[in-house]
Amino acid sequence: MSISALAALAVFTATIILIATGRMRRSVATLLGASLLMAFNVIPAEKAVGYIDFNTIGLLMGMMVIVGILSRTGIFQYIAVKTVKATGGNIPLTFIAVIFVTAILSAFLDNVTTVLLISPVVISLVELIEVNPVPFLIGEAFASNIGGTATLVGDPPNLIIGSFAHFSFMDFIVNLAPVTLVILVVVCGWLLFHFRKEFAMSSPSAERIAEVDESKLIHDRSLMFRAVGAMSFVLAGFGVHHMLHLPASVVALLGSALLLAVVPVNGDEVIHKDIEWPTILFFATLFIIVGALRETGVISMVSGVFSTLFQGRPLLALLAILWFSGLACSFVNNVAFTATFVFVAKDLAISLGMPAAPVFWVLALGACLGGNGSFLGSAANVIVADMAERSGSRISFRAFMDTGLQVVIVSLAVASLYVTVRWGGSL
Amino acid sequence: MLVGELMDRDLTAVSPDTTIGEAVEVLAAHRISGLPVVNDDGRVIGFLSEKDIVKAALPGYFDLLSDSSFLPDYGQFARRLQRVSRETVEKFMKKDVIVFEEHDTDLHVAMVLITKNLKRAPVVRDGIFAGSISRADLLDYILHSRREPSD
Repeated sequence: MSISALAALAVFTATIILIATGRMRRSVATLLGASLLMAFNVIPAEKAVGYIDFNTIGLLMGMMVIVGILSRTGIFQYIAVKTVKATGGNIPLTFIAVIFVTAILSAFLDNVTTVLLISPVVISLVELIEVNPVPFLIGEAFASNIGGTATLVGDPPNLIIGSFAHFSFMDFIVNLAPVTLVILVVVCGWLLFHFRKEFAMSSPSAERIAEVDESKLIHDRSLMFRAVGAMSFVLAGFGVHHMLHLPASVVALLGSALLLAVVPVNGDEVIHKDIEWPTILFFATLFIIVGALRETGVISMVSGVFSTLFQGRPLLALLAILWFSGLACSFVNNVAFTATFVFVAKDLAISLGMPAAPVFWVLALGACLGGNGSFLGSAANVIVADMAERSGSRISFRAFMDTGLQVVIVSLAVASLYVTVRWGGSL
Repeated sequence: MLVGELMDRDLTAVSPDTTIGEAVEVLAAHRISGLPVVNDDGRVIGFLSEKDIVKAALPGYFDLLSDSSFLPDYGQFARRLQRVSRETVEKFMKKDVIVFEEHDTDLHVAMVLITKNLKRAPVVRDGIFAGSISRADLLDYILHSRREPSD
């Protein structure tokens, strides 16, 4: 291994560790790593820029603006409360409603945004019916990570994979949404069993839930209609962007620009506050670090190991990538993992002589579903733990991981079945 | 003018192991918005305002719940407040308390009260609690100069 390859690998590993241990903000860690690699010419600056995937970044920015404006209207909380109210206060049904609403919203919103918007409303409702909020909070984290698996915009690994592999929004719906729904149903059933004691108690729920007035959550109807219009435009655009030969980022950016142009909000303020600039910087600089791994041959080495292991056994290779990425992303930042592994997936498909698409799909399944494993897997998990603490209960790292890893194993088992049935015969 | 000339020399204060319920009685009886918390040596170790008590009776995630008007009233707030009232002052007081010295100027006090969003703050002499200064004292004493009959 050359000196520069060692340097790139060392910077990548150090960055991952700094992020996982919380020693440094992730944007600072990747900025430091990328700057060092460019300063010492491990990857020359002019090459580094080429590795920044502006399609992913544009899509992130566009979605952040639209979702930011939409979330100010109270519509997401309205949907959550309306659905919970429809259960009539039955506790297991309320749990199922929370799981499905969270998962569906998370398929179109970032996981963290979903959990931040929905969980305070859910806890306040659950406390109203005097039930322990912890199972609901944990369930929300799981549902947000699983729901995010279903679409191009649901979870950042999918943005990276979609952009890298030129998958359209509809490709994700066709290849990932059905299996995600099955996984959600299985995990929801498993959680109902797991938390059966908490759900068995009686509560004064029905009449209290009936008195909840969700209409008070909508503050500005005209803003809501315009924002919903922009979101519908973007979703319709996502449905046809591949036919128009437009990248998804252009659709999202156009939608956000039109929305900013027609709503009476301070555009500068929205751009400043709703676009999470540290996240954008994190992505851009992470792409540079991964570029260094690619340029120095580290990625080819990893791909080499995988292809010798699985030569002539393509189905085994798919299942191995699914489980490896799922278990790795329980503890490692899934964006960093995916940004690296898209290259490995491409190399591997070439050297095993198999179509690349299934390799990317198992990577997406593994990287997104693995997020449930521990607090390190997804920021949404940390947020629900914080929310539990604020409402007077603690979810320890260990306690979350014990349930989380079981959920990951259940999810990956269902995904394995899907992968075998879907691609096992055609390889 | 200096704080020493404007301050209220009333030494009403509570100790850290007073209950919140008792502290609320003192606040109500004196019609003030906050109380210094002093230890046995008379040193100011904290400050408890009505804001701290109201906040303690709200759920911990209230700042993320942008609106609570959709929730019907089942005594959630009253129940929490009852629970909080049995706890001690030490648990909810502000520990990084802002205090003034008698020789601080009125300009300095006015600025700090506004920038730190305080209604009332303790005044100390050699670290020992000597009285309080509030926004109301500041305005009233300067404009009406209660202590200087010549004015």
